[in-house]
Amino acid sequence: MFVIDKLNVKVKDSSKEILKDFSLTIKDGEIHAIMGPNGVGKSTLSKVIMAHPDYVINSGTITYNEDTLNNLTTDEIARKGVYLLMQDPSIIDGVSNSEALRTAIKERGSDTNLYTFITKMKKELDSLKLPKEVMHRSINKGLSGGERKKNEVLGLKVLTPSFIILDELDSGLDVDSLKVVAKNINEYLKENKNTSVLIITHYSRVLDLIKPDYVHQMEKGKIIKTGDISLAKEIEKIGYNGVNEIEMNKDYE
Amino acid sequence: MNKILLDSTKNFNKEGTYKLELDKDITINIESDNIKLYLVTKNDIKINFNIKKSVTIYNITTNNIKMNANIYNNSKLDFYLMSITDKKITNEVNIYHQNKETISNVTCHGISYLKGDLKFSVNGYIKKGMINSVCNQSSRIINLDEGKSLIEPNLFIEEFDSIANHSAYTGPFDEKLLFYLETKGISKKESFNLLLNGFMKLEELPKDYENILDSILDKVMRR
Repeated sequence: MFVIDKLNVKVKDSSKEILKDFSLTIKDGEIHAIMGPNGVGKSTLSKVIMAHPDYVINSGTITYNEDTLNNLTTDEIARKGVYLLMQDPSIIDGVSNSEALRTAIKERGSDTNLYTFITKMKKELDSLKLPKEVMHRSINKGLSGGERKKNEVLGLKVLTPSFIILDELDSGLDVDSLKVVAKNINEYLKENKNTSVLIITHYSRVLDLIKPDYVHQMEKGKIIKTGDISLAKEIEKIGYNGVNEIEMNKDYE
Repeated sequence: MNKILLDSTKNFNKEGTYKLELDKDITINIESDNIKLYLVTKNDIKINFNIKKSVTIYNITTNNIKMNANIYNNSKLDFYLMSITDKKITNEVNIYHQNKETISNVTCHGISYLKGDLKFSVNGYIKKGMINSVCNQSSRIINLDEGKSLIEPNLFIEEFDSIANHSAYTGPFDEKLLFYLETKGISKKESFNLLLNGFMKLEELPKDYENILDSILDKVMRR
C-alpha cells in the first residue's frame, strides 16, 4: 500500500509551498488518477515521491509497504519498486539503453544474464513497436517524443516495478502511439495484478485507455475532490473552474 | 596498443587502422583515404598533421598538447580529443583549411578533476578563397571536485562562402541526467560512472584503445 500523509513540501531555498497537507492512499492493485490545471503541483508530486533534490519535505510522510520513503535516496526508492515514467524523459548521449537497464537490474541484485536480458529486451521492443537498434542506442537520442515515452515503458517492463507513476503519459504521443503504450501498460498490469498506478494528467483521454478506480482533482497543492471516471468526464466537459463552480453552488444550496 | 618508435616525420600512405603512442614532437602526413589513427600522447608534445586525404583521428591525452592540422585537396578531417587531467594543462588545436572544399569536424571532450585546470584552445582558420570549406568545433569539459576549465573556441573566417560552427560547454554533469538514471534504481555513483563513460567515449573505440581510456577513467572513478 502506498500512503502519503499530510505532506507539506517547499521548493528548496525558497518559501514557495508546492504541496499543502497533501494526503493520498493507494492500495495494491489500484489505479488512481490526479487531474488538475497547470501549476497545481501534479508533476511536482511525482518528483517529490522520487526524492528530487529541488524539493524539501517539511512535514508529513510517504510510505510504501511499511517503508518510509522520505529519507531514502531516489535510487533506493526506485529499488523499492517505484517507477516514474517522466513527462519529458531525458536524452543521455553516450549511455545506451541496454547499458543503463542492465546496470539497473544489477543494482537490484537480479539476474543479469546477457542472453536472458537481450531476449527480454527484444520481446518488449517488438511489443512496443520500437526498432531493435534502440537497445544499443544512447538513451532517447534521435527518438521522437512518442518513441521516448515508449522507451520509458520499455524500462518499466524490464525493471518490473510494483508502483508506477505515469506523469502526463499522453504528452507528445500521437493517438496510435498512445494506444500502443496503453496496451503495453495494461498487459503489464494484467500480468502483475498487485501493481498500483498513479496517473497524472490534464486530460481524460488517457483514462479511457488505462481505466482508473479513483479520480482526484488537485488544486493549490492538495486534493480537493475525489470521484470515479465520471469526475474526469465532467472536468473534460466543463473545465476545472466549471466543476468547482458547480460544487460551490451545491454547497450554497 | 602498438608501441611504435617514431621518427620526427611519419607518412601514412596506405588505408587502415593505426594505433600509436607518441612521446615526442612529430609531423604526420596523411596520404591515403580510409585511415583511422588512434593516438595516445604521453608527454607535452606538438603534433603537426598534413592531411591530403580524408582521415579520422582520435587522441587520448593527460598532458599538454599542441596540434596543428593543415587540410589540403578536398580532404576531410574528423578529430576527436579525449583529455583527462588533475593538473593544469592546455590542449591547443589549430585547424588550417589550406584548400577549397576542405572539411574539419573537431570534437574535444575533457574531464578536469581534483585540482585540475584544463584549457581547450580550439582555432579554425579559413582564409579568403577557400570556398565551400566547412569548419565545425564542439568542445565540452566536465568539472569534478575542485576542477576548473576554460574553453577558447575561435573561428577565423575570411571566406564568406564557407560554413563554420562552434559549441562549447564547461561545468558539471546535468543534475537532470543523474536524476533520470537514479529513478531507474541506479545509485548516484554508478549513474555518475555511466555518464562519465558515455561522455568520454565519443565513438565506438577498438577494445585495446578503449582499455587505455578505461584505465585513466578508473582513476577518476576511484578518486
